[in-house]
Amino acid sequence: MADDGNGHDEAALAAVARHALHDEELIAAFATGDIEPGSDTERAKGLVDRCAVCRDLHRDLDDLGAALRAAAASTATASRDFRLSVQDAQRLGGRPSARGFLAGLRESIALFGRPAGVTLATLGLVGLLVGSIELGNASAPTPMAVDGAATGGPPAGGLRTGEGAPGAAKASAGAAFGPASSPIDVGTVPATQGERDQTASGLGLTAWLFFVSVALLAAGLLLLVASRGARGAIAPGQDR
Amino acid sequence: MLDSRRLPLAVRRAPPTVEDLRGTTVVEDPVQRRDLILLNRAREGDLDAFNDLVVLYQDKLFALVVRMVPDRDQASDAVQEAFFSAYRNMKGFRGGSVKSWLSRIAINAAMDAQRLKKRRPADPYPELEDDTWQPPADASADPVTTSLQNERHRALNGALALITNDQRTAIVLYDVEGYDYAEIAEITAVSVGTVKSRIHRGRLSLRSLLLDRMDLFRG
Repeated sequence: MADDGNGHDEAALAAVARHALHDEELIAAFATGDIEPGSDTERAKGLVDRCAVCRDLHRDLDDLGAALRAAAASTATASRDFRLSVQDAQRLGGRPSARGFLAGLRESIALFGRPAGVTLATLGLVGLLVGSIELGNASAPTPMAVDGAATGGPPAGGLRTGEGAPGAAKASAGAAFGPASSPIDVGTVPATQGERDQTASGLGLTAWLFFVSVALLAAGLLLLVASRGARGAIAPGQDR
Repeated sequence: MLDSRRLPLAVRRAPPTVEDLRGTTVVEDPVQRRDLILLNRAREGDLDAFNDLVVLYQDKLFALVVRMVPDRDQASDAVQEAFFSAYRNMKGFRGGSVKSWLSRIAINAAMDAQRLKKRRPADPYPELEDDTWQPPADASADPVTTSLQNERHRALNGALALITNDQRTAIVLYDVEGYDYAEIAEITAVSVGTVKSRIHRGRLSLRSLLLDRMDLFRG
């Protein structure tokens, strides 16, 4: 029996030794079906028929080929979401659509709408407050007018040289730059005109301030409302 | 990494079904028709349409790339690059199958990743030990068959990770993706004979690596 076993081992070893001289790549080509009909086909067939190791190799390569083809149907779940963001699209040079633009706008409003809205609304309120104070100051009698009233003012048509009169220096300056006037009017008319101009420009500035402040306040409130809406659209039921 | 804090505004929605787009083009295959419509919309600037294509093909392309680049992070980067490249170059799409076009781009991205890996060969590919591989859906498959299929895929992909890049690429493109020799030769810029040789040698390498587990692949 031992001799039989040894004989079997020797036969196997001899087969392996013989196989060492066989062209495995030829067997692989034969298993893939890449050999043109001809002498190579006959040689490969002969090896598979006569050599047990070549036969096993051929069968294994067949099985592997089938397994590889079957693998085509299997998929692997990507661990990442590969969708492109609007920023990606812009970076890659694509032309974002109106939908993309709106999405970007919505994102910006959601992110910056609240702080920007609060800032604008605050600026608007401050502007309104300052405007109100300015308006109050403008409607109150100026010190010059009060002084004028206290001294009784110039008599109508009376001759005043301006000496000793309150605001004489200012009146003289007004006369220097103001329209030509008769010596009788010196010190009275130019001062009143400048005062009127100053009051008018002050009122214009205040009105402008009021207008801008109201616009800022409205824009701020709109942004606050829009940011609330944008947040709701992005993450419904979740307010950041 | 590219996946950090991406798409803060992305609203998950199902891509349009084939039926939604019926009757709007002349291509017979409904899947191709759907893909072409989405691509045309994307070319007109509709990012959502492009992202629908991404959702439709990201798993498929990832499966292709991770076979060629068996490192999940690198494969993910390559797939992301492939979609970026597709977005950049979609105006150059010349017609045909969108899926094939995307696959080609992904293959190029995977080969770029392989070249990068070759320049930094210090880290070998890690053993593929993930359970995200999904065998083909088959309602009639029993748990034993499904488990066997999973084991087979795992063993095969593990062995694929260990053979050379050139052999792996050739085998994946030929056996798994179904490209013919001439196409693979064109993609990999080598002769048809070289492609064949790579496939044969690659299969022999796989067999050597799986010699103790060949019973998994019998019949």
